[in-house]
Amino acid sequence: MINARKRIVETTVMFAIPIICLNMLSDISVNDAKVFPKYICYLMIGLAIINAFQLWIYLNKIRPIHWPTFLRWSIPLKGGAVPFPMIRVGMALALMTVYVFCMETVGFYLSGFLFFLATLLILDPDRPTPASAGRKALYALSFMAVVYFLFSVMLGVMIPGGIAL
Amino acid sequence: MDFMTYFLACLTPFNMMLMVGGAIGGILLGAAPGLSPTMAVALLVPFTFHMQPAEGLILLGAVYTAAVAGGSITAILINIPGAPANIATMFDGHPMAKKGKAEKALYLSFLSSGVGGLFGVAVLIFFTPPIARMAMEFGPAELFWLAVFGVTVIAGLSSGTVVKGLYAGAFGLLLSCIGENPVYGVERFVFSDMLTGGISIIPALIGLFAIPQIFTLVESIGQILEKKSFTAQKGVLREALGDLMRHPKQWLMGSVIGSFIGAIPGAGGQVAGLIAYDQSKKMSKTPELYGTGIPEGVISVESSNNATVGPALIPLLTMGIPGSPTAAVLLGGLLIHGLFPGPELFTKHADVAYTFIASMVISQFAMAIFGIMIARYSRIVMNIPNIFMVAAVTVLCVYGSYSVQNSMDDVIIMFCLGLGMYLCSRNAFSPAPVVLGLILGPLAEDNFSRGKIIAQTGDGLMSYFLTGGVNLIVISLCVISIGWSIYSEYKLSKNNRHAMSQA
Repeated sequence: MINARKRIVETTVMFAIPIICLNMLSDISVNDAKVFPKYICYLMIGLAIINAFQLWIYLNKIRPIHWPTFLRWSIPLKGGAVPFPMIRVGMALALMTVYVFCMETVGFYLSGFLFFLATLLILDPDRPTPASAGRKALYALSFMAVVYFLFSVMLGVMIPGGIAL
Repeated sequence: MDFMTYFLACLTPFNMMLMVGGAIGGILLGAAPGLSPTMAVALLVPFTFHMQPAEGLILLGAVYTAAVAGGSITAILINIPGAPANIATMFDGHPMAKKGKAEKALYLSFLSSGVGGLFGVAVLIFFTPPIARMAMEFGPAELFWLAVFGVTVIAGLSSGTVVKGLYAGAFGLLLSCIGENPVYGVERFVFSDMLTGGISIIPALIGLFAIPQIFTLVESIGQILEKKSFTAQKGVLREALGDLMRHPKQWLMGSVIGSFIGAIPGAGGQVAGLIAYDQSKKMSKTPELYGTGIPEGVISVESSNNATVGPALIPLLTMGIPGSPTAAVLLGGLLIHGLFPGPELFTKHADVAYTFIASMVISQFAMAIFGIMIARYSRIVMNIPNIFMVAAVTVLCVYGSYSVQNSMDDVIIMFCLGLGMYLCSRNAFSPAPVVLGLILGPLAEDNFSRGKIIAQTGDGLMSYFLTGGVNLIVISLCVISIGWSIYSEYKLSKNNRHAMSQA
């Protein structure tokens, strides 16, 4: 069940994207180069208007609108909150961000191994033991060996070594 | 004649190895819970970049075919479809597993997939050349409308709501405008240096399809699923073959429905499977047995969903309109080698086109044979914890994105697009229209610009783009596809309201 707050944010973003893009296009001097993206932005604004209209119907249905009680919609009114593993997803996001932004410095294979191992240790709901950590390190090492064989040996891709090599 | 020549050409040891490897890999990826065929193919596209075009397409085609069939393993054993195309497989497949006939259900699934797949490829072989010849007559206006049709049809059918689907398609078209305009040399939407060259297709494909799935897997870490395991027994394969021979009506009807639906851009295996199951039930003398675990249910669904694979490539190879999200990824596989779908693919690059089509025939046999062999050990694949998938797929996404142009910018673009798509997917936006918009955007803009120049020297823009037989047919198809999607959405919400009021 999509709640009201989510739909309001979604509709706002749907308006914001084409408006920002139209603003960026205004700096371009060659008219012909901006015709196609401009038409697309207009189409997106049209679709955002339809979505806003659908949102208005939706909000009216779950609670009749009494202006200006706009802020009250920010409370989920129907269906309740959907349980969402925020901490786990947040940790996964943090791990991936660190991995992507550090890999060039650390080295592709070393960072890949560390990311694989960290994911297995941190995201696993079971408490790690020395034996399980060792096993996971072995899995990570085996997987990276396969990746090394595929990319560097078979495909001959030049992978930056970073500080590791 | 062309086909037979290239059929023999694709039988080289290396090509055969690619087909077998692709079939095994596709089945394993399809059987792994949480990995869709689209994502499987998207992850493999960077590998094909370093191969010859025909070899790369052979690998992708084999994986595509096998991943759709592999999805039936989870549908039968865990009651979770490996891909949307396998939804209807659960109706009778899982009850069969519950009755202790999991092995037979799996064999039936792969045998029927092989039969349906061969039928679909036969349709592809016979219909592609004449349609390609017809497409040679198309000018800029027709090609522009075809690109628009490609986006609208996927946008309408693959998303939660029509408005969001169309918006996502339009957003994809806008993404395709990022970078330098090839005609006027003007930079557009370049707010960071890494966007100067525009958004490359492969990192975008990987990011949009794989990253949201990785996060979905993260959400489901630790969930315990009820899995049906079995021990392989002698004589079951013979029994399954006997069942297949006893029910020719089911696989024939499934194959015909699958081929027809597959050729319609956007419809896909999910629709085909559900329709085939429904029709098979209606035709049966014992419809009450459907859903209790009978072979007919599995045969009709699996023959139909694999029959969509071949025909889904017809609009892709002849006009550049992908019939499904996976076909859109295959289009990416063509584009990275500088090959553009359309009539020229069958004249200038006939060797690539026909070798690929010919390999699809052999891939069906490889899928059926290795599917039956792997089915016996499917519980090993299914027991891989989600956490391993998260780590492994992320590493592959990063390396795959990097390896195409040896660029870290591509990795960051892939990651950012994927993260954005994950947030959007939580609001019922689908990645398929964005990808279609991104891929078909240059085709649409290029033909729009060319058409505009022609129109300015002739009868004007409106007259050029809105008249002419083909233009009107394609515009009508766009309107019908959107109208049909709106009608389906209205009908679904009406049914939901009815169900809620009943409850």
